[in-house]
Amino acid sequence: MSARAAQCPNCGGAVRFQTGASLVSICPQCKSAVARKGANLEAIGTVAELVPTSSPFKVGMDARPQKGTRPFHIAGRLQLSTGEGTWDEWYVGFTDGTWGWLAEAQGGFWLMTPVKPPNVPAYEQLQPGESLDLGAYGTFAIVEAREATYASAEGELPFAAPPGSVFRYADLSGTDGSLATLDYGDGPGLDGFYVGKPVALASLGIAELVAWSDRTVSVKALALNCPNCGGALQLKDPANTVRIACPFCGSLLGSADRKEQGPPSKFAVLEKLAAVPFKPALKVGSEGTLRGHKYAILGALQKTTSSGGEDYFWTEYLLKEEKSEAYQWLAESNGHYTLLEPVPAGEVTDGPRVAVFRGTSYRIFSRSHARVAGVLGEFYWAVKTGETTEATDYIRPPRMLSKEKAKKEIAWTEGAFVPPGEIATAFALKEPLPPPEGVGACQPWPHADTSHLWWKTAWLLSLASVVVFFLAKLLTPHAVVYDQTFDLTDPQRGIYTARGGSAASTSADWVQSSATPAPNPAAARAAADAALSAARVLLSEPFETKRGANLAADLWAPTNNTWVQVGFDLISEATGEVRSFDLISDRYSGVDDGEHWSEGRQNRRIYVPRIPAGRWILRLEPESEAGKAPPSFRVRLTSGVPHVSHLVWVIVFLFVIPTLLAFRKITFEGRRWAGSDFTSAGAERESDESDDSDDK
Amino acid sequence: MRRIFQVFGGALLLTYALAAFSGWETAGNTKRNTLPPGARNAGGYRTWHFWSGGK
Repeated sequence: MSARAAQCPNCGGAVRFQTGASLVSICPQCKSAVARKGANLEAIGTVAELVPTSSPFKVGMDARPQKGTRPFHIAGRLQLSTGEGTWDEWYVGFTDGTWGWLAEAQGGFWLMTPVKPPNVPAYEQLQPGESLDLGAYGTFAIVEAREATYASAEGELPFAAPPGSVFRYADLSGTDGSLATLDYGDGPGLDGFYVGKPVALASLGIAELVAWSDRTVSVKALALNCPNCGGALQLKDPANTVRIACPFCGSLLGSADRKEQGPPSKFAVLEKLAAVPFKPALKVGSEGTLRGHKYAILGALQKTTSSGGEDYFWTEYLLKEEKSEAYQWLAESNGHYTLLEPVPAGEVTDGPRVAVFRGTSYRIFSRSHARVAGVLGEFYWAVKTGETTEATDYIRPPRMLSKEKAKKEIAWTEGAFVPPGEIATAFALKEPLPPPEGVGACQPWPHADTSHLWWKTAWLLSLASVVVFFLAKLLTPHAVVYDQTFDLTDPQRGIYTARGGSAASTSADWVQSSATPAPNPAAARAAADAALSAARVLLSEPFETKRGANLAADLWAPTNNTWVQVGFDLISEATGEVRSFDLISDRYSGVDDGEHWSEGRQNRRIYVPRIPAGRWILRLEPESEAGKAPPSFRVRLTSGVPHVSHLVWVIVFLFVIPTLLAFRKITFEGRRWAGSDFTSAGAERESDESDDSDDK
Repeated sequence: MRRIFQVFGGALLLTYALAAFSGWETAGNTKRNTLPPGARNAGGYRTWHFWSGGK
């Protein structure tokens, strides 16, 4: 870097060109823009006074970045204004003779370098929100396309346009957090193209900025009185304030000429209001610590949209984070709050139903033409009532992704739901906030954690129960204590006999000992039926159960379009306790109208509870349709059988509460989406009247 | 809340394990009766009026 000293052609004062690429140096004495044209110097205009900003940089600073970035020197400062706001661009010269711009926005910093301009559309064709494929440079989203005035400068500049020139430019946002600027200058073609990556201030190695994180705001809060009502205004962000809406009288204050950003102390009344337009729940100017960050509420916007003939209102608070000085938003709708911070447009991909930000998808929830209905507080742009934007909200509770599209720019914000109680605590409210109405757009389901625990518990315990079931089946001593097949030996009377003769046989020849001569024919028939029933009775040999447990009783018979019902009586030899139950084997099948059907079962099981250990006798009383008795049936008793239906009931019980919670969640989501312009699947609801009636 | 879930889950699993290993059974569709001492022999099982009186 070689410095060249010269005399200002206007005042004769010393001007210096320290950077080889510099074409202009601002005379520190007379503010002339001195351009070098070959060996000559020419004053091409005079710059205005610099507007104080909160930028941490100064001309003359040297940066020794830790890695990845070449050392550079801040050679100049360009101050641009759109008439709605003023900002700085810092002209830097690298040690290798190249140059670039150090830009700042929303508390972030980008180091931009000029690269070969790609083929791009004409300025007039640029539409904010659209994507531009810039070949090797990547794909970029157009964030804004507008004009800015070269308002002031100091030090050196790499171009020789006269002060007051109007430049057209477009800011682009890349998919990887990069930033690019298309500089159309003041002519029809592209003058320059700059691409840059975000840089951390602490990594720049600027000695004077070591204590950046501890620094106080460069321009202190400013106290002034409203020129209309005399109310005391305490500005929190005077360096960037372009408009003030007096919280006492509602008057809109700004620079008298409406173009240049003058100091707020010289603001004039631009618009008088009879009264404050609305009363926000949070006081403008108050400060609080929310989720670890200290914020000041700079201003509040009341916005409205119309749908179905009804007007809907919500409030957006402009916040400034103390350390980073980044602007954020706190949106309030029906008492529900969402804290939103700006995100790079290039990192968002939006479609008709979903938007994806850094790999996370959000479902579309609402789309409206939002109109500013009321303004209170201080703002860094020339806000005014009546201005409209297209607002689209995408949700992934508790998070929200929001797009706001104006004619010349697009802005994306992303954030999370904040419970009203947290807001009240953060801003130390003396009175509670109004209770929220309905379900908020990105309000999380309040029982989400509980539900998750229940589902997790249910699944884990179900799995454990299955393991227990199989362990019990494998490890418990369950044994067949009785197994006998009976053959039909007297089909006419339906009398069965134990196969193999191991069990006590029937007493077909048994006659009830107490039988007496029948007094009449009916009594005689009853006595005969009783005798036949008794003849069918089967008695087992005594068998033993080793431990007190349940007993699984199985009946099987080769029934085919017939049935056999067996009455079971388990008789304890020791106590005379009798446990009685019935089982039936009834299998029916056939063909009707060419279709095969079947019903009933040949095998049945019943679990008999709590059979104590001991010796037992089984009494069986089979009964079947006359002349259709199956040729045999089999009875088996097994002691200590783990009951699978218990396992099923345990699992059902485990999932009762999670299922009820799931139904509650469905109801909750139904209430949420009832307030949406879209269904939860992303389809747009039909409406009698469009929500953009204001614009017709 | 997590503690409640742990207690609930542990108690339920323990109860089920006890039921499964002990062969516990609900009452089900069975009836209980007691045979009079005088009927406790093979013939008595057949002859006592309890059987023919219906169940």
